Amino acid sequence: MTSEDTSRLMQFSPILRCMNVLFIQVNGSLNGVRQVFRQQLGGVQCFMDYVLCRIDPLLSLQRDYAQVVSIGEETRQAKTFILRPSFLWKGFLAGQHIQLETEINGVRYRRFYSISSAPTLFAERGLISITVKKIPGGRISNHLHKTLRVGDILAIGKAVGRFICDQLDSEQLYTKSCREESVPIAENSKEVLFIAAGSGVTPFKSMLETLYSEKPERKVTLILYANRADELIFNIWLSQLSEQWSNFRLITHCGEQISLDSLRSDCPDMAQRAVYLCGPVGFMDKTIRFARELDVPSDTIRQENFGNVSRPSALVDAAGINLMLVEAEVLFTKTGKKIKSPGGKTLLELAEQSGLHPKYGCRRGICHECTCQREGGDIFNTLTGALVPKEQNRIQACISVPVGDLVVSDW
Amino acid sequence: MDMKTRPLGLLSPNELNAFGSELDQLREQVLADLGQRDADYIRDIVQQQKMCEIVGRTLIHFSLNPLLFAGGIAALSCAKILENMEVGHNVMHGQYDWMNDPTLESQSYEWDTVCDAESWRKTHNFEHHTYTNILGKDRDYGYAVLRLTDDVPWKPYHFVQFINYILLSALFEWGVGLHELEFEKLKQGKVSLKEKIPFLKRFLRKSGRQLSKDYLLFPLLAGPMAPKVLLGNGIANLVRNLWTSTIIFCGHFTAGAETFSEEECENETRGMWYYRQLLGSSNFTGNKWLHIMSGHLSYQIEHHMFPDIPAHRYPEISEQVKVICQKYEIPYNTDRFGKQYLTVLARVARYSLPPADSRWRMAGEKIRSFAGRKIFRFLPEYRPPVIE
Ligand SMILES: Cc1cc2nc3c(=O)[nH]c(=O)nc-3n(C[C@H](O)[C@H](O)[C@H](O)COP(=O)(O)OP(=O)(O)OC[C@H]3O[C@@H](n4cnc5c(N)ncnc54)[C@H](O)[C@@H]3O)c2cc1C
Ligand code: FES
Repeated sequence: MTSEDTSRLMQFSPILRCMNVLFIQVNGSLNGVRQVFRQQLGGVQCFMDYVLCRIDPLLSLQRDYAQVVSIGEETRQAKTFILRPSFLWKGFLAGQHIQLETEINGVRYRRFYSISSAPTLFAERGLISITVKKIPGGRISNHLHKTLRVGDILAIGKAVGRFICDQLDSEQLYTKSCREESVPIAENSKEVLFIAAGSGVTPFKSMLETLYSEKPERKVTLILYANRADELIFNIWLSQLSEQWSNFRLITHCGEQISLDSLRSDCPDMAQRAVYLCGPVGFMDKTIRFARELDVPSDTIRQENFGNVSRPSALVDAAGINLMLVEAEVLFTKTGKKIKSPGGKTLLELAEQSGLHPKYGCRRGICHECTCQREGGDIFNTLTGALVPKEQNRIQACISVPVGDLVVSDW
Repeated sequence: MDMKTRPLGLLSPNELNAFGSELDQLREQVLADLGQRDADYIRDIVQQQKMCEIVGRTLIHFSLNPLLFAGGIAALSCAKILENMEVGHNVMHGQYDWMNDPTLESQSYEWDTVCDAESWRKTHNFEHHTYTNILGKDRDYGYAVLRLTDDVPWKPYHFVQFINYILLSALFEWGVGLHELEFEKLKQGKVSLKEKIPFLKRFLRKSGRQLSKDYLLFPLLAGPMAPKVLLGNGIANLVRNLWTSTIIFCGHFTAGAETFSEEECENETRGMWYYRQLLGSSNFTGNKWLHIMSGHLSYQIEHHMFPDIPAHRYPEISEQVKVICQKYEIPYNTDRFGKQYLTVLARVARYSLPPADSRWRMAGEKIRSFAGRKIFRFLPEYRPPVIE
């Protein structure tokens, strides 16, 4: 371009700029129209869905539901529920879990349960199963045992989780096609070691079924811990499988704690295997410590955490401890910010201190503008002078003082 | 005029604290009792509201005679009123957050009016509910349009505030939708238009959506009958506006509802806050459906003391609140709906005139006596509350 061209262009530049602005404006308002249209469709869809759900929740186009098809007893504490998800539910990979929603006394509770059936059952008959073990004092596990009947309908979520066995063809396909983050793929030749405690065996049932039908040449060992022999979930199925499948070894420990020696003798070549761990937190912590002592590289261990055994309640209700003054650490997962508090600071103040600008209004518990989602941890409510009930996850930040560690998910 | 400052001084600080903790106790008691009954109630209302809307829209579309058409308009108006008052307003207060139900969650709920829910939560839940009836801070007091107390200087245009009142009523959803714009402050230059751009964007999006639903989408669906649907939807929106504004005005603008100054409310304790909510609000009585159609704002006092307790509980709570009020000898402002409403009209009329001691006195005096004789005779005489 010659300098003459440029100068001629310069002459037009105000006009060009105007046109540009105009174009952006027009485009913007068109976007507005488009957005309004989409919202309108959204409104209509919501309405349709409401009507469909009144007729039958399984018809819902927006939420996944599942109907209980049959119920079986595994042990005295564990039941297996066979579910038929509604037609929009997308399927799963062996090892994944779903969220299950149930309502008690008007309050909706959500819990995760691993799918214990193989993906083939879903592919062939549209069924999945979950196996729920009663936790003493547990709200939902006991409720499901007591009230769930064949024919009942539950709201469920899509299958989620990366606790999957990537030695299977189906899963490698899946890995390539639709997973955003890649999980390190263990060498295909690696032998597999599953370690589970209590209800932690559920995802392994699904994986074992799939491995047996897809890769029976692979060597697999399952070490299973339970409090008592009659609490071993899937006991009969597992022993049958170990008879049929020569490459599968089943080791059970009843009434024992996991120890370094037992781990060493159960699986001397642990360091060479792909290790999968599933169970309550305490059990997993211990196992990982032992694995480290046995020189198992940490990137070959995959784990699924089934939940916490509750903390000693001494902190919570011991008289004399001023909960307002307990040290705390808050993690805001959306921004990844972390902040420590010497105690006495509200969650809203802490969020602001760490440079966030959460929405708020009255700052004294009236307006709910500061409501946020807690994922875990205890909170002291300055208005009621008591801890916020564990089930209440939508909390008002301006009257909440964190007690100990807290995770907040929407800031 | 120290008429308004005295009520707050009636109770000693100790009494106020005791009063506050009794109400806190009541609150805890109800919160602990929330459960299936409340969940069933709100879901039932949601279902009836949806049915009402289906019936209304169907009749408006397909009715072949004026009677059914009118029926359709009535049903759609009911649906809109129920959605706004008993569902939307209450849900957005966080009354049903404890249910963990994403469709009834305060922070994500969006309602069937041109007012953007986000903006409502700010101007209503926060500003109005925190600073209730504090002049200069509670912009809901008169909506910056009406002069309802002598503490607001009189201007000649207040003469016609009855017309403003009717306009505000008829266009209520727009008034509420644009409330956050703070037009009066814009005019005085206290805020700049630039600060309001994010709000305006949200407002345009929401109102565009609302307008396109009632005046584009549904009429288009009706094809050749579009004008009829347009008319029906318009009337339904108007009815909703008139009804909601009337109910809301009865909550804070009645004869007995007090106002407060900013200084009075500095360093307010919880007890004082409760007390102010009580003095600044007024209830009305009526049958079950009047309460439901007003979103239980007929229990405005209880609503202001416990904005996040499910509203259908207010009738039970009010019995206990009355007992507590009696104990502390605090007035509890309630009356029949019609009577309360007349005192609101009287107040609007009364303060459209200048105060007796202003330079407008002469003119005012004359008009007042004229008004007293002729036009406003049907109104009960407006008497400001006197406290001995
Ligand atoms: C990814 C994932 C998959 C899961 N898969 C399964 C499954 O397949 N089968 C199954 O039975 N459960 C599974 N769980 C655990 C399940 O989600 C619930 O936590 C469990 O059923 C207890 O719920 P609850 O409401 O009965 O107990 P709550 O009322 O929530 O808790 C009662 C008490 O038990 C403690 N507690 C909670 N969970 C556990 C636990 N797992 N072990 C020991 N103590 C606990 C709590 O700290 C609390 O003190 C899974 C959890 C996760 C996160
Ligand atoms: S800011 Fe109003 S409740 Fe927290």
